[in-house]
Amino acid sequence: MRLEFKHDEDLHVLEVKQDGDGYRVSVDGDQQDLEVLALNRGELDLRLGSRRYRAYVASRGDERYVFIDGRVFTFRVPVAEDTDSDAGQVNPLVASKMPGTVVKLLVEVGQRVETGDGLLIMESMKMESEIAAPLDGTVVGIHVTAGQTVGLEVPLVDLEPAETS
Amino acid sequence: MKNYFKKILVANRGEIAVRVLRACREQGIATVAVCSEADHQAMHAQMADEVVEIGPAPPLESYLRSDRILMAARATGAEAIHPGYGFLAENAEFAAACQDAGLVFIGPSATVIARMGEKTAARDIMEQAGVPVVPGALLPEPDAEGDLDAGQVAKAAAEVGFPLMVKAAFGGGGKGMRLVQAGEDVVAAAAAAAREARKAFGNGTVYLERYLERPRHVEFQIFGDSQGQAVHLNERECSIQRRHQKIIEESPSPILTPELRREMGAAAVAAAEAVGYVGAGTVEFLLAQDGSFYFLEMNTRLQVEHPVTELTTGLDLVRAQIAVAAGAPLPWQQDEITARGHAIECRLYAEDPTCDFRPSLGKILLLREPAGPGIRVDSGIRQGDEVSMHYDPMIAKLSVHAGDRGAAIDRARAALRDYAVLGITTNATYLLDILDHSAFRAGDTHTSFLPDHFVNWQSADSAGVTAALVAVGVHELVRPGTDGAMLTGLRSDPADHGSPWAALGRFRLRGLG
Repeated sequence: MRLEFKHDEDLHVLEVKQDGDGYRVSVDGDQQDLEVLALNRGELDLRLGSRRYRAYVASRGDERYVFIDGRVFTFRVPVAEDTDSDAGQVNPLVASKMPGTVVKLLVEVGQRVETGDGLLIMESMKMESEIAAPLDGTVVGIHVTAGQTVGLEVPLVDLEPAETS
Repeated sequence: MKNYFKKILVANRGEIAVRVLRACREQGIATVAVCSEADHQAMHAQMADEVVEIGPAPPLESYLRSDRILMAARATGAEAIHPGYGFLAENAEFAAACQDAGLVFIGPSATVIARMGEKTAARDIMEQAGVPVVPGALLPEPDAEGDLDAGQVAKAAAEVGFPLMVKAAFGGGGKGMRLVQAGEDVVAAAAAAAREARKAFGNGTVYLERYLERPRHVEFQIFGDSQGQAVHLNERECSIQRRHQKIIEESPSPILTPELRREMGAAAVAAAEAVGYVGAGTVEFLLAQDGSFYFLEMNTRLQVEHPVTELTTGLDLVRAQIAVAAGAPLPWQQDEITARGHAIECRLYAEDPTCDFRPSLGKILLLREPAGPGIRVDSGIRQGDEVSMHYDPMIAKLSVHAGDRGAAIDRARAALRDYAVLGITTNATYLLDILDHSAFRAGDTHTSFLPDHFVNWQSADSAGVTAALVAVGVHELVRPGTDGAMLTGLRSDPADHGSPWAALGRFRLRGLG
C-alpha cells in the first residue's frame, strides 16, 4: 500500500508491504522492518527496525495527529483536488485568527490606515489583543460591531490597498 | 471523624472544582456543582452529587453571577461555598453576601479579602508591618466609558519610574497586567489592562508598580484559623512565567537558604497575623538577585500551585480549609510542619507556544494521563471534552514529587513524555524543553527566564517524524471507513472496537492472511 502525508510543507511517501511474519515499510524510500504489536483505539505499539514505539493517533477531517514520546506531529492527508483554488481570493480582508469577542473598533469606514495600525481590539479567553492592519490602505467595510462574538476566520474588516507608486 | 459540613457548593469549574469536590467526597460531605449552559458535560458538573445551571457560557453571565450561585446554594441546602481560585474567590462582596445569606464562605472574611484584594491597601499594611515593598501608585478609577485620564496616568507613571507594570488592583493570575518600557505606551496599556480587569474581576481599577530586573518569584503558603493562630508551609518558587502567568512551580526554591526561608516565612506569618487571616492564603514576594525581597501581593485563596506544597509537606490544604472555615483550630503547629524532597508542578495549557501562546480551542480527541510513583494529575477535562473560548485555557496540572530537585525534573519529564493530548495544541513539549534546559536544571531561574531563553521556541520534532509517519500510516490503513482491510489481519472491526483483546489476539498472529 502506498500512502502520502503532508508534514508542514513536505510531502512524505509511505509504502507498506507484507513480508513474512511482519511488514516492510518504506518511508521516503528508506526501508525498515515493521511489526505491529498492538493496536487499539488510536493506541499503537510498533517495532520499527530495532526500536519500539508507543504512539497515539487521532484524526479530524484531513488532519492526523500523532503523539510519540511527548511530541505531537500533525499530518495532512493530501486531497486530490487541493483546496488551493480558494486561495485565489487574495482579498485584503482581515479575518479573526481565533474565536473571540470584539471589544472595540478603532477605525471607521473610509479611514486610511498604515501597516501595523490597530483596526480593532479582540478578546478571547480573557486576554485582549489588537488586530493590526496587514497593509497600507483604506477601510472599505466593517463586518462586526463591538460586543459581537465571532468564530474563527470570520471577516472583520475590508481594506482597499493603497496605490503603490 | 466529624463532618464539619453536610453539604458544600463548589462555585467554580475545571480542575480546581474537581479538586475540591474530591476533598468533600473523601470526607462524606455531599456536593453541589454549578455549571454554565456549556458545561453540563464537564467533569466537575458530572462528578458532583447535584448540579445547578447558573447561566450562559460567558463567565459574566454564569460563574461570576453571585446572585445565581447563592440561589443555587439556597435551593440545594448547601451550608458552605468553596470558591476555588479565580472567578469569585477574591470577591469581597461575594464573601459578604454568603455571610448575609447564612452560608459559610470557605476563605477569609470579606474584610480581609477587601483589604488584601486592594493591592495598594495591602502594600500599606505590609509597609507598616516592616516588610519592604516595591514602589507603586494607584490610578484613579476609569470613567463609565472605561477610559482613563491620560494626564494623571502619565504623572503617576513618571513618579513610579520605568520600566513599570500595570496591574489590576482587584485581580491576579496575569489578567489585566502589562509591562511598559517607556512613557508613551503607558496610557494605552493602562486602558487595556483596565478593560481586561473589569471583565475578569468585575472591577477596572489598575495600579502601576516599578519593575525589577530578573527577580525570582518566591511565595509563601500561609494558613490561619479563627483562634488567631497563623503558620507558614514553606515557599514555592514560581519564576517560570509566560505573559506574567506561572507555568512551572516548585518547592523548595532552588536558591533559598534556611536563614532566608526563616526570614521570609516570618514576614509572611506577620502579614497573616496583621490582618487576622483565616484560611489558606499566599504571600508573594519578589526575591532580588542580592537576596533582598519585596512584598508583591497577598492572594486570599487557594493557589493553583498548592499541590507542590501538599506533596512536600504531606498535608491536605483543601481539607484544612474546610475544617478551619467551620471554626476548627489549625490542624498543625508551625514546628510540626516539615518538608521532604522536591516537588514540581507543570501547568498544561491548551495553547500554542510557537504562536504567541494563542489559546487552542476544540475537542480533545484523545487523552492519556501519566501515572506512577510520585506523579499527581489534577485535571478538569476528559477525552471528548471541548476546550471553549470562554474559560481559562489551563486544562490540567501535572505535579511530581521526588527525593531531590534533579530527580523531580527527571520524573516530570518522564511523565510529560507519557501525557498524550490530541486534538488541541498544548504546551507539553514546551514544558519538556524548559525542564531540560541547562539553566533550569542549574536552578538559575527568574521571571525573565522564558523571554531570555525561549523566544521563538520551536519543537525539535524532526527526530521522531519517521516513526510518527509509520504510526499514522498504520492507523490510516486500519481506520474504519478506509477502503477495507488494507493491512491483512489488521483491520479493526468497529464491532469489536471495545475489546483490546480482540485486536491484540490478532496482531499476535503476525502475518495472518
